[in-house]
This record gives sequence, C-alpha cells and structure tokens, in this order.
Amino acid sequence: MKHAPDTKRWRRRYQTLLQFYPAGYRREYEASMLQLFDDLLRDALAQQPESVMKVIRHAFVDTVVSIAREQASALMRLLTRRPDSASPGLLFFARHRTAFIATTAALVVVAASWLGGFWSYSGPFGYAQRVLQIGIAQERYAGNWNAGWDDVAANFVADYVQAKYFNSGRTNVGYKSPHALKNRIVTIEGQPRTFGLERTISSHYASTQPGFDPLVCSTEAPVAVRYVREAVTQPGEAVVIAAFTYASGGQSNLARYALQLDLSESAHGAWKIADVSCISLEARPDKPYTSSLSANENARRYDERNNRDFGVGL
Amino acid sequence: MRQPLNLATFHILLALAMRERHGYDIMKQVAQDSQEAVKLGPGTLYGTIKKLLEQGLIEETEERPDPELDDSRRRYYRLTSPGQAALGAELERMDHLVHLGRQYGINHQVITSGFSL
Repeated sequence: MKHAPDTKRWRRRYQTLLQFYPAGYRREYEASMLQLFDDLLRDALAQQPESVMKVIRHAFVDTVVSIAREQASALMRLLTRRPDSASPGLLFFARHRTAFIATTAALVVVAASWLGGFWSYSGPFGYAQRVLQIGIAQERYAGNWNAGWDDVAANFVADYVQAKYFNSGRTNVGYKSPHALKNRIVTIEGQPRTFGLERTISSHYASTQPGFDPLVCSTEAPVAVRYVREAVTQPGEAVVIAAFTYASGGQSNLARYALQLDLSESAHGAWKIADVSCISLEARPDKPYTSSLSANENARRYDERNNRDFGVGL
Repeated sequence: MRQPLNLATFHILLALAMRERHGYDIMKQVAQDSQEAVKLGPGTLYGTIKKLLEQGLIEETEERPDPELDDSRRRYYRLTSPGQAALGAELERMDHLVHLGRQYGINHQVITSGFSL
C-alpha cells in the first residue's frame, strides 16, 4: 500500500509502540493492529486528509493506555501464579493498579518517544501540501538598496524554507502551485513595488520550486494575512506558512500572532495551518544569516534565535 | 444477575450480531451504530476482542481477504451462543431502563425541551 512519505514514518513509530505490549499479546495481535492502523490512515487520507493527525493521535493514545492495561494484567497473572517471587515494589504496584498503569503509560510514552522520534514532529500536521511564503516589509526600508537586505531576504526565504520543509520531507513536493509559473511575486495594494523587492526576488526564483507559492508581500501583516486567507489557499489543504519580516522583534510578533490567529479559519472554512514559521531578518553585519553558511545551518540559527526571542520556531 | 457490559464490549457484540466481521469492519460498524459517539481505538478494540475470546462470547473464524478492501488476509470474528445470550440480556436490561424512564414521565420530547428533574 502506498503511503504519503510522512505516514510511513508514523507507521514505523506505531510499529515501535506495539513492541511494548507483553510478548503473548504481541504474537496474537501485533499484525492485526498494524493492519488496522494502515486501514485508518488509508481512509483518512482518502476522505479527510486534514484529519490524518487526529486519527494518528487517537490511535497512539488509545494504544498507550491499552499497553499499560495489558502489562498490568500480565503482571497480575504473574503474581497470582508465583506470589513469592514478587519484590515489595512489585507487590505495591500490584495492589495499586492505577499507579502501575499510570507509571507504565508514562514509561511507554517516554521510551516510544525516544525510539520512534515521536517528538521530532512539530505542528498539527505531519506534512503539508503547500508552502505559502509571506514577506512583510516595513515602509522605513524603502530605498535601502545599498544595505543588500533584499538579497538577504530573498535568499533566506528560499534557503530557509527549502531546508526546513523540503529537505526534511515535511511537504508533499509533488504539488505545484498553478500560480508559480505566472506570478513570482504577488503584491498587495501595490506597496512593495516601491521597494523594487519583486524584481530582486524574481531573479532568485528563476527555477520553479515545486510546492512554493508566489511570495506575497505587504507592508502590513494583517493585509498579507487577509490575502492569504481569501485568495491563495485551496479548500482541504494543509499549508505551511513561512513568513519573513524585515523588521524588529515587535513586527515579527505581530506577524506571528496575526498568522496564528487570523488564519485558523479560512474563507473556505476547510483548511488549517500546518505550521507557522516567522523569521525576522535585518541587514546588519552582526546578524547570523549569511549566504556563506549552508541553508540548514542558517535555518538552525534562526530557529534558535526565534525560540529565544519570540517563543516560535520549529 | 449479570453485570452490565461496558460500552466497548456491548458495541462489539452488537456489531457482530448481524454477521461476522474483521477488526476494521467492527470499528466502522461501532462508529456507525453509535452515530460517531463511540470511536474505538486499535488498543481498545483488540484488548476487548481478546477478553471476549477468553470469555467465550466471540470466536475467530477463518482468515480471508475483504473484497471491499485490499487483498490482505484478515481475521474474522463472530458471536457465539453465550455471546448472543449476553447481548440479548444487555438489550433487555436497557429496554427495562427505557421503560422505567417512560414510567417516570421522561420521554424524548421532554428531554429536548430542556426539562430537568
């Protein structure tokens, strides 16, 4: 059965989780449970792709509780058969079944996380079908050509988004936006045209990147947000928003909150934000971004900084 | 008197009342019967199936593919006579409770109109 790339990862994690069942139970039911998990994913992907993570979460939580219950039953059976072999600690847990189940569930979650990389996923969806890029530039940067910030911004968005989403396999790279071939830059209310930003960024988007929507630019985050919500998205898609703002921390926060809050529902009412990444760029020499570093290293440095400064990042 | 069946047990037995089913089919039928109020996860489903097999309320039949799904062989289950009796007893118990409710003057229209005791 064919899976989207990310569901393969979740399937492996689920298989890892099943190893925590008692051996007898596993022998009987591991294959059936894995088959059931495949069935759930298949139907979710076919009918309601945006519900895939909900289905996965439900299956994982249910299975963790079931593991704890089965381990508790196995322990009780062992103690019943050989009561003299139990240590005081085991006897305590045998008498306090709730404590045993809770402790086992916690240990299972931690172990499964470590083994299966459970927490390496961030955001509500494991993969996205589109990457929407939003550029938010302040009026005060108009005319600052000598600073080279427009090149920095353009390169950074391409590198960062490439490293963050495509290299890590978090997007379905098979998708190609119908807009990509026509308009590299979409401007709102004509404002970024005064910066010449679109000319510069156009040259960096010479080759069509699958899954990249045109860069949306505006001087105000709410305007960009409105555009994205009403014009760019398709119903039923999971999208990743990669936003950069050439501004101070305050503007970044505004962009971050605007994106998180205003885009939770679209005009179509059917799509959700898969991920939000908000990056602040400033063309000062002491800033960490530089084109001499690899895209992944730049992405990592910006994530560290964003986590520290704004509590965002992936 | 027999103990009431828990929700998962009751719904699984009910799902098997019409015909034998495999695990995923049972899960979908339970969701449909309960109008999406009860959604069994894989752990609850197979944990309950294991218990029902041990209690002799269901039994496994032959493995075969489901023509509506893929070609993988699936394990099918069906009700045993004790399972049918247990389900019947539970439905009778629920029927008795509904009857009691009607005797107390509680009916569907009253509930939806916001009446409270």
